Parts: sequence; structure tokens; C-alpha cells
Amino acid sequence: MGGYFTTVATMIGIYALVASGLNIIVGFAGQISLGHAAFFGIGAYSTALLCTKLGLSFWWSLPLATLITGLIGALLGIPSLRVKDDFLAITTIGINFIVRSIFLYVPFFGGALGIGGIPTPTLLDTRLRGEYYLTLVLVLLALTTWFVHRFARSWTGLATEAMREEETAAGAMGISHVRFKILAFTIGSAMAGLGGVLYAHFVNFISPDDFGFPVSIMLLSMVVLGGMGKIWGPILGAIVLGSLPEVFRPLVQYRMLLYGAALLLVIRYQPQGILGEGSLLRRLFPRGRR
Amino acid sequence: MTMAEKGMILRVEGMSRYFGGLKAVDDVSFHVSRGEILGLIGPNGAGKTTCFNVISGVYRPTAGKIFLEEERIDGLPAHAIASRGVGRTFQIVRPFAGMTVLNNVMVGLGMQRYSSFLKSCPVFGDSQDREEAMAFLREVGIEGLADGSSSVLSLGNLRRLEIARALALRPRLLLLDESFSGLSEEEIQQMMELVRNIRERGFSVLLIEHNMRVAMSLCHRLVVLDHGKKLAEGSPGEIRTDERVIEAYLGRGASAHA
Repeated sequence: MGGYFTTVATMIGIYALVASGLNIIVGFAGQISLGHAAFFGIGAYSTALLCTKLGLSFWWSLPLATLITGLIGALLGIPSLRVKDDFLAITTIGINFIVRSIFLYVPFFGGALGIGGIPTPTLLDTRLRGEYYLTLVLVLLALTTWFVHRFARSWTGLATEAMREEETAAGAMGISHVRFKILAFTIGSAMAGLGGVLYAHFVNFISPDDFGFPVSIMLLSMVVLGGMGKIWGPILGAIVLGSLPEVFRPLVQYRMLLYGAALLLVIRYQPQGILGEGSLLRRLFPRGRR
Repeated sequence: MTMAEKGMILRVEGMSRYFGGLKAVDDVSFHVSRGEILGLIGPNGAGKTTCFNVISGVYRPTAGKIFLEEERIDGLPAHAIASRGVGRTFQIVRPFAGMTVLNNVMVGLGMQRYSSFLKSCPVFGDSQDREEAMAFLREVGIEGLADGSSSVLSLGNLRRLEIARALALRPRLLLLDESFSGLSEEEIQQMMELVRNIRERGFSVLLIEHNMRVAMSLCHRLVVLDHGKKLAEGSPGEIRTDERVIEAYLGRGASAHA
């Protein structure tokens, strides 16, 4: 396997993990978020600081940074209790810009220069590079996908979906929207944080622009393209949107245009996403339930 | 405490709900006895649905007290009131449209779990859960539609689904908000049969009804609201001949024809 392929595959794996987290918030809980890159960034910056300033190892920093991001996600999920739909979209965009600005303007976070020297993790004296790192990412992606699958089949998942479908009726069924919205934001943000950790230790150097608003748009596009509320949706979305720019690379300046066109086509002709209800793939293979 | 109070499932004392200057519900008091079907009737805009929304916690009352048996529940959030045993349906039906009919009822079955992190972790829908949910669907007569999507049901079946979902909470008190409106004559007969059966199984029912014939033949007692205030209370026979009620519905001078 070439280094180029491995790099692209690793990035797709990381984005798939982060987009799966966004799918919990947007797909399962029905809370629009256009600021998910903020949590991706919080995870990345947490691990960068834990490792470079405190000298923690990757294996300690990974769960810690994931936890930190989940807790911050719970806090920043509070606006979703007050505002809905387009107002929530604007609020989450604001959160993204604020978090990015903090990374950019607070010297502690390295400013525009970002944070470098984030160590490549080692396991049994082997530095996890290339295919090893890709394997690590895929193992964690598999674990989180199993977790999402398990979440969707739990009473928690059922309550979360009921809240998405009809918040008032869900309340009449004993479902607290406060509890289940905050829970969705916590889980979704923690997954973004985990993705951020994997990203930081992969590229070894992070800067605020890695976690800007365009990244949030890309993540949401992955969820929408693949199918909101479908376990495999964001993963397929990440594969498609992650590889399209590479496939179109020879076209240089036109590749973003084609990327946009592909997105537009799916939204026009498969509005529920590639894996959504009533989509072409589902009609061709009607057995898979999710 | 008197004997009558002991037999009360719901007691509403001086309940008011204002929206700005509009007194949607104004100082209303009534009670529902155990095993009773109490009808809440009144012209359009009388405040019936607002009453339901305050009792079920969708709105906080502006003033007044609400007791579920001995416990005060006014001002609690909707999910807390539901988990204390108040099930309800909605005048404008609110199914979980993206779910199957069976899972709509499943949501209700899980009610006791949603307040505990650990209890809501297990996988839902094992054979026992399915059997229980099917029993509620069978009770309302739509078990044949269990695995279909709830978004394609007729209005009559959606109203049945809402009742099944509320019954799945195993409530002490069932609030039915115009479960008969928009139904055919045949469906109305079936629905009346269903509500009677529900009461016979020991549920207490508070219902809002527009169709006078239905309200009169189904309810043990009626409370009449008009412009947010309680106008009258009594047996169907008493309400039928009450001058004030006839006036509120038909206008002054109509009582002679009633």
C-alpha cells in the first residue's frame, strides 16, 4: 500500500468517526449543528496540550481528551434547550467561530502558529505510522460504530429518536428533552474529541484553521449525504466526500466544483441520503434495516 | 380528608393559565374520581385543551393547585407528570412518524426507564417487550399494522395508536383530547366501546369532547367550560337541561328549542 493511499484512508477514517458523532446529534436527536468542528478541535487541542505541556502519553491522553471534549459538549449543548432549528444552526456556527478564535488569539493555545511536536504514538516499542496508524484508526472507528449501533438499539436511543420525531409527545411519554439532548451532545462531542485526538497525533501539528467553519460544513455534508440517523450513513458519506477530491485531483481547480455538484445531486435526487429510507440503494437491497 | 377526597385521582383547585392578557383558563376547579369518565366540554376556545396542557405539564399554571391523588403536580415538567402516571393523547395527533406502529407503543413501555441512565442502557424490543406492546395494539384493534410505518395510518388509527401509546405508560389517569373528532360514525361507535373497555379495566379517564351525543352517553359527569371559566358541572342529565349551558352553546333565546 502506498503512503498516499494510507494517508487518504486514515483521514477518511477519522472524518467518518467525527461525522458519526455528529450523526448522534443531528441524525438521532434531530438537533442541527453547524459547529461540530469546534469539538473536533477541542479534542485535538486537548491532546496536544496534554502531550506537549504535561508530557502525557498518547494512551492516557486519548481517553482524557475524549472525556474533556464530551464534558464541554454537554455544556455547549445547553443552547439547544432554548433554541431550535435555524436559530440553533446559527448558535452552533457561533460556537464554532468562538472556539476557533480562542485557539487563534489565546497565546496558551499557540495562536496562529498552532501546536507542533505532537508525538506519534508508540505501541510495544513500535511507532504507529502509516498502515499501523490506519489500523488504529479503523479499530477505533469499528468500536465507535459498534457503540452507535448499540446506542440505536437501546431504550436511550429509542427515547432520543422519539424526542426527534415529536418532542411534545415524547414529553408525554416520560422523556425529558433536557436529559436526552444533553446526552446526545455529550456523546456526539466526545466522538468528535476522539477523532480530534487521532487527527492531532496523525498530522503531529495542528492550527486553528484545521477546525474552522468549512470543516463543520464538510462534516454535516457527510452525514446528510450518507443518510441522517443511519449508522453507516456518515461512514459512507466520509468515504464519498473524502475520496472525491482525490479522484478529481487531476482536474485541480475544478475539483471543488465537482465535489459541490455531487453533493447537490444527492440532495436533489436522494434527499434522505444514500442510505436513507426510500433511497436507490435501499430499494436495490431491501433487507438491511439500518 | 373526607371519603370523597380519598377516591379522587385528580383534583384541580383554582387553576388559571393566562397568555398575556388572555385568560385561557380562569380559576377552574374540578376533580376526577377513581374509575370515572369525566367529560370536559364547552364551545370552541373555551380553554379545554389549555386545561389538558396545564394538567399534563406542557404549560405551567399561572395560579392554582393540581393534585394527582395526594401529590401536588402543578408546575412539574411534562415528563415528570407522565412518569407519575398521567397518560394523554393529542387533539392534533402527534405520532412518532419515523417509527413503526409497534415502536411508537414501545416508547411508552420504556417510561420508567428514561429517568435512569442504567435502566435506559439495555436493548429495547426483546420478545417480551414486543408481546407487551402488541397487547396494547390488540386492545385498541390495530395489531395488524404493528410493523408498518406510523406515518401512513388513517386518522382513526392514529387516534387508536395514541391511546395504545398512552396505555403503555400504565397510567393512573388517562387524558383523551378529542379522540372522536374526524372519525366516521362506525369508528365513533368502536372508539366509544374502546373507552368503556378501558374504564372497565380500572383506568380513570378525563376526556375532551365536542360531539355532545358521545359526551352524554359516555361520561359519568361533565364539566362545562366557557371563556376559560367553569360554567357548570353535573351528570349528563343535569347538563342537558342547564340553561347556562344551552345559552353558551346555542345563544340566548335558544333554550326553548333545546
